[in-house]
Amino acid sequence: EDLSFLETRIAELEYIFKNAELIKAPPKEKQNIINLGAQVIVGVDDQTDEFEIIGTLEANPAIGKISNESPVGKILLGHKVGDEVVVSSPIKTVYKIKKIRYLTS
Amino acid sequence: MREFLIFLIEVGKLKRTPRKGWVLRGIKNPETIAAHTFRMAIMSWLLGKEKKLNINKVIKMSLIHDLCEVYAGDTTPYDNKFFSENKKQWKEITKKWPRFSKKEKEKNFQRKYKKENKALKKLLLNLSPALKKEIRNLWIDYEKGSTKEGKFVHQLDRVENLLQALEYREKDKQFAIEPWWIQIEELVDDPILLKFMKALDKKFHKKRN
Repeated sequence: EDLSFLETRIAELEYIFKNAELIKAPPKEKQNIINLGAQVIVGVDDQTDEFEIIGTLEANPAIGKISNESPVGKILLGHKVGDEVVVSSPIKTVYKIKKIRYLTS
Repeated sequence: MREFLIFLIEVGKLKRTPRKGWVLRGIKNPETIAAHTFRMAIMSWLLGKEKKLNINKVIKMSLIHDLCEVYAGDTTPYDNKFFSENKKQWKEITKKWPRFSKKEKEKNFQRKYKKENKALKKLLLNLSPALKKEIRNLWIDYEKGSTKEGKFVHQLDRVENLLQALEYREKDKQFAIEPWWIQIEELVDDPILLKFMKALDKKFHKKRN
């Protein structure tokens, strides 16, 4: 079972290396917009939350890394500080974008 | 056989352990950890088949994913920062999805992982090395989403939880369903599970409108 687990994991990693694109920080003039790799601080109701928007393979919402293909990740893309983004189905939730930054590569 | 028996008696405790989240919300006769596992295993089989995943693996992963709670206990997102000793405050606290900084999330994750890892090791102590390794590998994969099966079952866990929450809401119109949808929309990106969530929305929400 150990070998089988390792073989599966190797196959998965090979797939990732073959198909993945390295997320690079966008040029400085575009770092005011949420894109893959952005670290975003949002206000929701009277609370603050912090996400990093990354690809599905690396996503781990428990530690704040949300997928760009999740409903919230998808809707945040392309927005900038001050924007209010609404996820409306079935419950309306408003995310107010407070801060965007990118880790330098 | 004796090792199996000891293990199975311990695992059987989950049939009598109510899920903490429902207790916090004052649900009468709340679902147990074992009941959640049961439906999750069925969902992983049916929906995993749609994705052509390793069904043997997703079912086993679902069956073992909460075993550590025999000793670690059940947890909720409200533990630590938002928890109150005052029971009267619980219903109010659980109306909102709890928010944390990235640093707090990482700290919470590590704390929970360490506690559950230790609990699982204790539970598996008397099993054969092969079985011990198999269960531990499945659990690590589920926790970290290392493979496509692990990622899928990890997200499925929350989707089953949402389904149960919606069923409770059918019985009690005061039940605050918002935190579940908020969590799910930040967590799930699997296309099959997103499709399933649309079906939940149609069944439990649209018919009310």
